[in-house]
Amino acid sequence: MMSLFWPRYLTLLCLCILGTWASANTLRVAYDADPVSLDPYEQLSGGTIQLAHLLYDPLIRWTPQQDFEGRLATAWQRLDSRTIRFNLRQGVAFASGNPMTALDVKWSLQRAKTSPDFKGIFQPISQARVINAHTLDLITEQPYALLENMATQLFIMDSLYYQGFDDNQRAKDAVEKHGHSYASEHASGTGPYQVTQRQQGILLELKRRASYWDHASPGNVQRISLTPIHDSATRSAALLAGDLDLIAPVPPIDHYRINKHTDTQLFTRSSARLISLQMNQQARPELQDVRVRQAIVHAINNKGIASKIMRGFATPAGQQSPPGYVGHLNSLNPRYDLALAQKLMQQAGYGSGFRLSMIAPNNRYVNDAKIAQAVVIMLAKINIKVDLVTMPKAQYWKKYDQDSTDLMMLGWHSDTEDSANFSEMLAMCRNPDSGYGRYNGGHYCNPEVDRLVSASAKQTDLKKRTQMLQQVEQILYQDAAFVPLHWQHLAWGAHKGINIGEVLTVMNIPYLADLVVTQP
Amino acid sequence: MKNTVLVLSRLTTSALILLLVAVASYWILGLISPNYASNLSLTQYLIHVTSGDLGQSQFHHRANLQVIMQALPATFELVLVTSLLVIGLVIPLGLYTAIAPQHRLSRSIMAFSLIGISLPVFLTGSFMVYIFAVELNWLPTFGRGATTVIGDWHSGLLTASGWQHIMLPAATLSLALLPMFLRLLRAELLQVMHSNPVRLAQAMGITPWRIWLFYGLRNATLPMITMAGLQFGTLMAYTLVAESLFQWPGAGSLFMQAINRSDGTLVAAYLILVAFMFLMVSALADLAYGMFNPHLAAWRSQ
Repeated sequence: MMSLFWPRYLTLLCLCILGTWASANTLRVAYDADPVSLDPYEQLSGGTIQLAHLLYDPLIRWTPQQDFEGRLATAWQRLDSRTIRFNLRQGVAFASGNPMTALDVKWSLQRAKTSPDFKGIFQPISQARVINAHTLDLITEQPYALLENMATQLFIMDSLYYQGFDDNQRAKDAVEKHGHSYASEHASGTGPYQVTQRQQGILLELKRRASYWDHASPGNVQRISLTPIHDSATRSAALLAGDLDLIAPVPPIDHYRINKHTDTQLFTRSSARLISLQMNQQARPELQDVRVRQAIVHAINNKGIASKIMRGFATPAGQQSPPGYVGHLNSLNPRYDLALAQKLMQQAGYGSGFRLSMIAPNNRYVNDAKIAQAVVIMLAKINIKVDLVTMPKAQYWKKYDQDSTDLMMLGWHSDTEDSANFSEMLAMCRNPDSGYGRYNGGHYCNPEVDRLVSASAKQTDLKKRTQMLQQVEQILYQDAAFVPLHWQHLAWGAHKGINIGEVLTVMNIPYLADLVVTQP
Repeated sequence: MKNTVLVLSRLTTSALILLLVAVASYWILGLISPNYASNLSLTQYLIHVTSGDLGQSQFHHRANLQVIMQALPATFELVLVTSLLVIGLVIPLGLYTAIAPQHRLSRSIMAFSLIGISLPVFLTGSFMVYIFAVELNWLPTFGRGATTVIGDWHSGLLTASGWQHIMLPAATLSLALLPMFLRLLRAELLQVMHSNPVRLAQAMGITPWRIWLFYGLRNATLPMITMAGLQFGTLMAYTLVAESLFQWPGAGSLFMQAINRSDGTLVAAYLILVAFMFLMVSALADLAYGMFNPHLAAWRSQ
C-alpha cells in the first residue's frame, strides 16, 4: 500500500524542490569555525577579530594597502616619544543609541587590559588620559614605536551599555573565556552591522545599521549570514553549487576548480603567517647543540613542502619576517642540504642518530598534519627517528603548553604587523612576568637577542630599529633557533561580482562593510 | 508469570548494558578531560548518571541533556525522513526483485544496491553533493534551510526549503541502509512464495497482487522489524558522518564538535543517551514484533 502512495508523495517532493530559495541582498559567508564570542576581547583569534570589525570599530585600522586609516579617530599625532593624542570622531553612536566619547575609549582599554589574551598586547600603555569628550592621549611607560599598530587592535565598546549586572548577577562588563558572559552574547558597538540572530556553531546573521557613521563607505552589503562549515569539501561544494557567496579558507586541492568555474573566482595572496617547528632544548640536551639544530634545519626540504604538499600555495621561509617586514633580510634563504646535514650530525657525534617526539595540530594550519608527516620522513634521512602525534587544535594548545615534547609545530602571525612581535613571543628568553617568550617552545635563550629586541621597542628612529631587527634575524639564522618552514598563503573563494581582494588586509581581515557586490 | 519474568530479565539486561556504557563513558571522559574526571570518582559519576544527571557541558555551560535535546529534533527529522525513504523504496523494489528475480532490471537493482553497502557514507555523500548540488544544481549542499518553531521544536519539515535541504543527507543515509533491507526482504519473499499456504492460495485462484501484498509481504515483514531495531545503532553512527558532511545542525555534529572542543562531559552524555535510545528502540521493535507475529499473539492468549 505504501507503494501506491509513494508516487504521489514523490511528486509532492519534486514540487517542493522546484520552489525557489530566495536570499536577495544577503551575503552568505562560510568560515571553517564559528567566532567563539561577540566580545572582541574574549579570545585573541582571527575569527573573533574578523567579527569585531563588523560589530565594532577600532581607533584606526590597516587598509588593504598596509597604511593606517582613521576610524573612530579622525586624526592622531605624537606629542612626544611616549604619548599619542587621538582626536575622536564626533556624532558617532553605539547600536544602543549611546553617544561614543573619550570615556568609552578609556573604559574599553581598561577592560581589554583585564583580558588574559589581550593584556599582553596593551601592556605597554600605562595610561589613557581624557582631555575632553572627543580628545584623548594614550601614554606608554617607555618610549614605544608601535603605538599606532596597537591602536588598530583597540575596539571601542559601549561603556554605558555594559554597566550593572545581568540576570545571573554577573557583572555585564566581565571578560570571561568560554564563560558565556554578558558581553559574549550581547554586542553594542559603533560598527557597521548588528546581530539579528545567533545560534552558536550554526548561524550568525547580521544587518547593516542604518545609522552607521561611515556614509563615505561604498559598501552595499545589507545583510550577512555567517555559517561555520568545518568540512572543507562541503564548503567548496556549497560555493560551487551557488549556496554560498564567499568562503574561507579554500584548501589547495580546490583552487583549480574554483578558479576554473564560470560562476566563482579564487582570491589568493601571500600572508605573514609563519609555520615553524620549535626544537625543545629544555627537554633534549641533543638539541642544545647548535650543530644538531643546524642539521635538522638543513635536513628539512621546506621548498619541497611548499611546492608539493602546499602545491605552491606557500612561500618557503628561511627566517621569521616575511618580505615587506622591517626585519626581513634578503640574504636569509631556505637552506636544504642533506649532505651538509648528515655531516653536521657526524660532527656533533650523533651520526647514528636518536629518537625525538613530535606533535602537530591537524586542523589548525593548511595541511598541518601532512607537513608533519613529511618532516618525519625527511628527518629519518639523518637517522633521527620521530614519533609523531597529531591532534585537533582544542587538545593541541594544552599539549603545547605542557612543554614536554621535543619537536612542536607552531604558526605565528605578528599581532602588530611588525617583525619584533615574532621575536618577543617566539625567540626571547621565556619570562612569565613580562609574557615575553610566551610561545618559545624551543626554550632558545640568547641575551643578545633579548637586548636587541627590547631596545628596538624603544627606538623611534626607524632606520636604526630596522637594523636591530635584521640583526636579530641574522642571529636566529646562525643559531638555528627554530625550523622555518613557510609563510602560509591566504585563499578566499567568492562568486563572480564579489571582489573580496579589494577589502582584504594581509592579516586576513575582510572589511565586509566596504565590499561592493555587483550583480553579474 | 512467565511474562513478568521475561520483562524483569529484559529490564535487568538493559540496566546492565547501560551501566557498562556509563563505565565506558567515564573512561572516555577521563581520556578527554582528565582534570574533570579526577575530581569525580566512578561511583559518584554512576550515581549522577542513574539519577538522570548527565552533567554540565564544559563548553556550553548548560546541562548536557538540555544541549543534546536542543539538537535532537534535527537528527530525529533526518532519521525519520531516512526511514520513510527506506520503507518507501524497499517495499516496491523488494517485491519487484522477488517477483521477477531473473529479470535484467532486478539484477541491476541488486547489483546497484551492492554499491550502497560497499561504499562508505562520506564517499556516497560526496558523490551525491557533486552530482545533485554542484553539477545539476537541483538541491542545496548544506544546512537545514528555513525552520518553523513549534514550542521547543524547530522543524524543517514544514517548509519547502526544509524539504530541499533534507533530501541529500536523507538519500545518502538511505543508500547505506537500503541494501541490507532490500536483500533481506527479497530473500524472505522468495522463501514465503514457495511455502505451502501461498501455494494453496495460488491453487485457490486468489489474485497474485493479493497474495504478494497480504500473504507474502506480511510474513516477510517480521525479520525486517528485528533488523530495523538492530540497524538503529548503525543509523546513529552514520548520522555522525552525514551530519558533518552536510553541516546538519543535529546531535551528531554536536558530538563531533564536542570531540574537537575536548568537551568530555558532553561526549560521555551523548554516548549514554544513544545507548539508552538504542535499548528503547530495540524494546519497541520487540513489542512491534509481537503485534505482527500471529504465533506470539496466539501464545499470549493461551
